[in-house]
Amino acid sequence: MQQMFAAYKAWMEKFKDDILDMGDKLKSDGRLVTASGVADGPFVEAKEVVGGYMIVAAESYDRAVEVVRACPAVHAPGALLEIRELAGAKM
Amino acid sequence: MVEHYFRHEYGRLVSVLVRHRGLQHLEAVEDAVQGALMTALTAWVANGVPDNPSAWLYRVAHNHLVGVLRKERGHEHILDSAADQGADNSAEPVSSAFAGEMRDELLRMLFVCCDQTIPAESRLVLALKTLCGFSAGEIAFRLFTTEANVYKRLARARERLRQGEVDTQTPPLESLRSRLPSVHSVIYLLFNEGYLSTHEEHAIRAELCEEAIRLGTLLATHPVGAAPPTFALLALMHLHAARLASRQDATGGLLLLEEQDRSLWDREHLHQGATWLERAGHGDVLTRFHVEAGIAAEHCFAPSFADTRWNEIAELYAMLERIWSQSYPTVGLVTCRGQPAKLFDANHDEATFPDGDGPCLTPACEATVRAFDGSYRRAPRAPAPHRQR
Repeated sequence: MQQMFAAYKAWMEKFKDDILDMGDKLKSDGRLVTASGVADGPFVEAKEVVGGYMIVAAESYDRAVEVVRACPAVHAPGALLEIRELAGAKM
Repeated sequence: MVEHYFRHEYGRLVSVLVRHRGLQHLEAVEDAVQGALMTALTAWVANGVPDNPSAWLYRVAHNHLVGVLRKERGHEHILDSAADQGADNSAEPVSSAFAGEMRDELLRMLFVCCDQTIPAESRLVLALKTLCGFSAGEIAFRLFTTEANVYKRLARARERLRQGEVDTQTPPLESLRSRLPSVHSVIYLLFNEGYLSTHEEHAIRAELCEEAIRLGTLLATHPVGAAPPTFALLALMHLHAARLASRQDATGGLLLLEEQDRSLWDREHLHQGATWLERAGHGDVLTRFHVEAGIAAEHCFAPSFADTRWNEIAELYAMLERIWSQSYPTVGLVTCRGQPAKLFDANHDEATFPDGDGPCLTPACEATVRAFDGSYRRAPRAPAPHRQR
């Protein structure tokens, strides 16, 4: 399995130059498919390392609290909750 | 068992019935299927599960539907024999008319729902609601929007369907290919809902992950879907699924990555993940699924939390940020860099946050760093700006 993973990482190398050169003409041997749209996803760092980063749409702070409280992830003992309004977020 | 069986049957039944009756009757079909599932709940508890539950459900749903349509139209000719061809209760008709035909009705309907004439944001909502059994609330949560908005998007999609502009026949191959990104999104979001759910009682819903993997696998073995982006999506789903068993403690509470017992990680899923990963690593196209699969693999193949290659993951998040400028990549990047100095080779005090014009950068960075250094305890109370984590 490690071998298959290593082969994969090696293949990804060829896109690194394209990433670093964003703004210049992309090199002909690789094409990046940019993604659009705002949506959730299974992001380990946000959801399992930090322990529950989530984006919530709500009309008010109080409503946001309601929405988040309904999620089981926040009920672990010792869980701390911070809610912050995103400034100028276009979603 | 009951609940996830029903969710799977819901999408399947809707797909089959819509095929027979037409997309313009989608709402009536959904009502009929819901009715059949409710009936099953009481009938099966009282009388036991029938020998062929799928056929039972189909028969009841079909009867419900015919009744509803008859009431709606007031026309008895709906019951004519031509329309009743599909009423064979023992098996679903499998059409092998042309090479591109999809044998799985649900997957086929997924493509139909991702029709280009339906506005982009409505496609996702339609598919998640009618085929994957999401509630409007669940969809709103995952698409970072409101329930009202979800209903609006759904109405737009249904209007298109009612106008009869959308065909239930399998679209030609080229059209199928252009819908692939939308179909990927639906499968991805279905998996995501299972990975960490908003459900009141179940934080992890493995059956949704399994269904997403099932659809993804079908897609990967079909001419339209057999391409590296699909393989990458499958890889990332298998790799995340491998860890599901370790993410909850005995009482159902969620465990952070650092606390998870890695010996519980599922070897079969890991192996599948690696296999699909290898197949994904071909060609000249890099998609966000490729990058996310790479991140998942870094975690899954690390011997321990401490031995995780945080610098590699950070690079992958930097890549992801370039092709998908949302807050999650930024949070990921900062989280990696925020690992204690012995794990990530950077001076923690001088951690530089990425520049950019994404809307969530500053709060995401702040929140993540504060989570690590414990400064969240000093967060200002209202009426200062509220902080989101």
